[in-house]
Amino acid sequence: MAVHANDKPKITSVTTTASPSPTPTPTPGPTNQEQQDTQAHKDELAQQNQQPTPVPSSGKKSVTPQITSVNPGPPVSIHAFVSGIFENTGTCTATFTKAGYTSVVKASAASAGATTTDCAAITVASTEFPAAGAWTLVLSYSSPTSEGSSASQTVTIQ
Amino acid sequence: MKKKLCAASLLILLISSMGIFLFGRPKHAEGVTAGDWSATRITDDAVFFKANTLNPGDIQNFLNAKVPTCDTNGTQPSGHAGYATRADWSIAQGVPPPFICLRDFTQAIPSVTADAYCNGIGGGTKSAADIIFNVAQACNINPEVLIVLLQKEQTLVSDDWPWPVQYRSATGYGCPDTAACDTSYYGFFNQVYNAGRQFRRYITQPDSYNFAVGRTSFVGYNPSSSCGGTNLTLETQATAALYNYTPYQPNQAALNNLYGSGDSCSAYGNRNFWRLFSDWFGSTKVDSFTVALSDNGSGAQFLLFGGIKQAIPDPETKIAWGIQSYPLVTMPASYLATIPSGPYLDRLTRLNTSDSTVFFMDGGKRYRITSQAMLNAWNLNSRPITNVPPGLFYIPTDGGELTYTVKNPANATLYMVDGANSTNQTILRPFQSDTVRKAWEGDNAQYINISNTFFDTMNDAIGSTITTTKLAYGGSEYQALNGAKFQQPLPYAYLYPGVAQAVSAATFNRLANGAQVSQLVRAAGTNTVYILDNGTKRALANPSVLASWTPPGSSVEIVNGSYISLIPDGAALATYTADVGGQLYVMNTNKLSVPVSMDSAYRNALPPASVTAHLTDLYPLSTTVLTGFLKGATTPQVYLLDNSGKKRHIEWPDKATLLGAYSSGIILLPDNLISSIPETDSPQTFVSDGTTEYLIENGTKHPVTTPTKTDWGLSGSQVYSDGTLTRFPTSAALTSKLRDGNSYYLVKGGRAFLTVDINVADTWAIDDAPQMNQMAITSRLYYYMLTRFVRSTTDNRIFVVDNGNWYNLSNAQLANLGGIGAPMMGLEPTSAPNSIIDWTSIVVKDSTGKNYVIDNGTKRSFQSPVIQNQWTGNGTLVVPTVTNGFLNLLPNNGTIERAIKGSSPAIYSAESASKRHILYSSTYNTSYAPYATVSDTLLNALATGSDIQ
Repeated sequence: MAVHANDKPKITSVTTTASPSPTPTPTPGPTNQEQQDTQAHKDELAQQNQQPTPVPSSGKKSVTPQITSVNPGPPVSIHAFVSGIFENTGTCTATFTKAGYTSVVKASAASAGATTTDCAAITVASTEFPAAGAWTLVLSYSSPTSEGSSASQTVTIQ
Repeated sequence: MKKKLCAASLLILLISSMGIFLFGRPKHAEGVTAGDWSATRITDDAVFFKANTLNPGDIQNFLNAKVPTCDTNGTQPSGHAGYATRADWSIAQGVPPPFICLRDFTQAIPSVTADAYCNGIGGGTKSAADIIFNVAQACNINPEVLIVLLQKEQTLVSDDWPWPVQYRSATGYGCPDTAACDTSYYGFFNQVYNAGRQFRRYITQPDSYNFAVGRTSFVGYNPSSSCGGTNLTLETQATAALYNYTPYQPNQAALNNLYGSGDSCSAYGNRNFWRLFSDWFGSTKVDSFTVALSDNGSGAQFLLFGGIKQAIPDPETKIAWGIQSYPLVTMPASYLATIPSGPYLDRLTRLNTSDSTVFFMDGGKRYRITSQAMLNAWNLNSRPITNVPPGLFYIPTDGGELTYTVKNPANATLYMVDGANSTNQTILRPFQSDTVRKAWEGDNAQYINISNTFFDTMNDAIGSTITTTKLAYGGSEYQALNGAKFQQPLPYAYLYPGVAQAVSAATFNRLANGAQVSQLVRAAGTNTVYILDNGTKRALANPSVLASWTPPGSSVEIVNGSYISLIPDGAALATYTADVGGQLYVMNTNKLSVPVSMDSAYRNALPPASVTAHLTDLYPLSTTVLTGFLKGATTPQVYLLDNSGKKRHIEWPDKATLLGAYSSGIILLPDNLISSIPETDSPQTFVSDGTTEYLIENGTKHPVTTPTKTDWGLSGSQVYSDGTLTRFPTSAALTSKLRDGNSYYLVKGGRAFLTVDINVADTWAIDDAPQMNQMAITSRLYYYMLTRFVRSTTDNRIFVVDNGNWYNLSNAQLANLGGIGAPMMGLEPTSAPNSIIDWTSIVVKDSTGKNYVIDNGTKRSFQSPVIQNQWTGNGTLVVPTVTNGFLNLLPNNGTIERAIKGSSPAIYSAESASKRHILYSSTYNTSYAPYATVSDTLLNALATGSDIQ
């Protein structure tokens, strides 16, 4: 709604002051805190500088995928990422196991996020499970350079 | 910070200048505190994606202010022992001056073409401020976000002597934890652009990334999984974007020391983002509403947002929304009158987005309403629903889902909301106990600590106490369990305890549709299965018993622990049999009716549980007629079940046949049922009921007398004093002979003699033997061939048998009867039923009087009475009548004449069983011719008379 200057309401009272005035004020200079943070960061960089360049090992790097969400659905939907690596060459594989039944395995491609390698969402239809109930989920990651598995968790399939 | 003024913002500016900030973000004057942190709402979208907050000049000014003097040559003291200046120390680190501060930084950048996430950016040599601005505009990100990102990752904003490496990985893009950065993304512009673009990707493709609004995700405290984390349901896209960029949240240690370090499990990225942003640019959240008070003295208050006003009906509504302590801005009534009115502010709301989820606000909490049925149950279906902005929506804390249970604010009583009464009041029905509530709604079901005010609006309609899970609606009964209703048709209703209580349509409809109740229940997470009967629950002793009591197609219903505990305990049930008013059933997924004749056997073997017919009505009646013969379903042993309740292993198939197992039917029952029956000796076929001895054959019992018992060699009968033998019908008494098809047996002296020749059987007079199963013999006696000749086992005599009588044979008679070389059984002469006399007959007759001459094992007939008269002395010779069998065993050998001749030339006249030599041929020719050629054995057998001259 447009309010014209000559329609300005008359303010008669103010009961509470909630916030400081937004009147433009100069941006404050660096605080002591910021200066300390800056110095600490510089020291950290210097420390990293002195560490020897890592020699690539002949084996693969061990990683531990992190499952961030498992929506039991249906369909079951899994999100996960892998920290410590940044690459587009890996595959994430969700493996559901349950004693007495064939495992349900589903994979998705992994891609570099910003600071992690992210698994594309893995979706599994309920019909792909031979039985309802508690299933054990492990998410594993494999690429030419890295591999590893998440901790297991129980998923209740409906 | 510059602001473009427009007509509408004049009001804002005017009011703001008086100390009230209405439509903007409150700034933190003195830094943030841990209590301000919200892990699920680090920042609002309206802040994070507001691209026009700063222009390039604003950004440059900000950077200048943060670094008033750039130590380009590193002349300031180093702070490191042994190094006077920063330059000295930095050279030692391999990084010589000059040091370019962000305020002074420029970079020649290529032009970037637009893609799905960001608009294009023109190339050229640009300052850091320009680059930040360009990326913010191209990717529609608040430039303040990018500035904070540069600071939190590399402290670039505040650094007055930054190193090149800080520009190289300025936003940490492509820098995984514990590994080197990806060189593909090196460079200041590259870093800022890719970071901005990445944030936009998270928004464009939320499903492709780990964190998104409304999704509950696990967010760790640290890359090390051992540090733990929590599940978060994120409230804004911006918050999700931050977690996608850096997937960790600060732990309590990091929050406790907001401007320093936490512990080894702390991660600081998102904490620092929020802290720096708040300190530098104000709140990360938007509170874009105003609580206004009319100045007309009425005390009327309004909520202003989105260009409308909503009347606030009472202080409790403000408390419901948690805005009771918000600034109350007094405004002219005339001004308020110009603002269009929306519905009055009530407790039902939606977030002002495309999300249609409705929430109920009470006591400063926000409760999610999951269905229209829930609205109806609460009698809220006619209340207005207000759409509100996030700034208002998120003021009440998240209370989770609204529940169907409310707690009386004054005491511990819990009530179920049960729709509306006739005067449109919400009915509250007290639960008899929390156990009843949990049974209805679930063990872990929550309840609402409703505000006193709202409770008071409802408590005029207190309904009857809910005492049971058994409910009635529409003429049918149901069980309430875990928020669902399970059909409870007859006879199930008889099994469950309690009297069904009527509920409202609202409650009936809000309960999810479950299946049909079962008589078998188990609490989730426990192993004990109970069977319901007569209002009690009876624990089933083991899986075998459970299997037997599980009807086809039925399953165990999983219930909650509270539900189980509401059902009174009955006696445990550990048996496979049920007694319903004296009628015994064997339960084997169906029910097998036990006939009266078998009642003792099964009752003693499997002591039954007394149950109601309502329970057994749930099991189909088997058409199988129970017998006394049992077998496990997967085990080979067949048993006779005696009336004492003991099972007796029938070792052989023949014995099973004799006992009548196959003809009666062998009942297959579960192995565990069979194994639970106590066992005793194997059954015998020579038995006694304590008074009479019997031989059991083909399922019937033959009384055994003493002489027969001797012939059969029977001894040591198995005594059944429990009535078991009454199951076996009594047949004819056992004799010493029997017939089975074409097999005829004579039983003598503990041995059996068999013939399949009815003629032989005839000679022994056993062709009329009773028909019996020869297994009665073959299963217990050795047997031999039955013949018409008998060799004495005690002397040298040989006998021929006819019609059961024995006759002693001379050698000549033996030969003439064809006995030389014939099969011959051995037997004691005392076994003969008669006084043995010599066999002297040459001429015998059949039962019709026809006479034959026996000639060397054959029989020869008379072709005329003249000849027969000569042979029999005109009827004076005693001619014995023999059996047809006896005769049949002598093949026909033509006719006989008066004169006979053997191998020698002599011709004889046969007269009265003697032979007379006819000396002269003339005599022969005139009186005796012709002669019949006979065997010498016949001649030998005939006595010799006087010669005929």
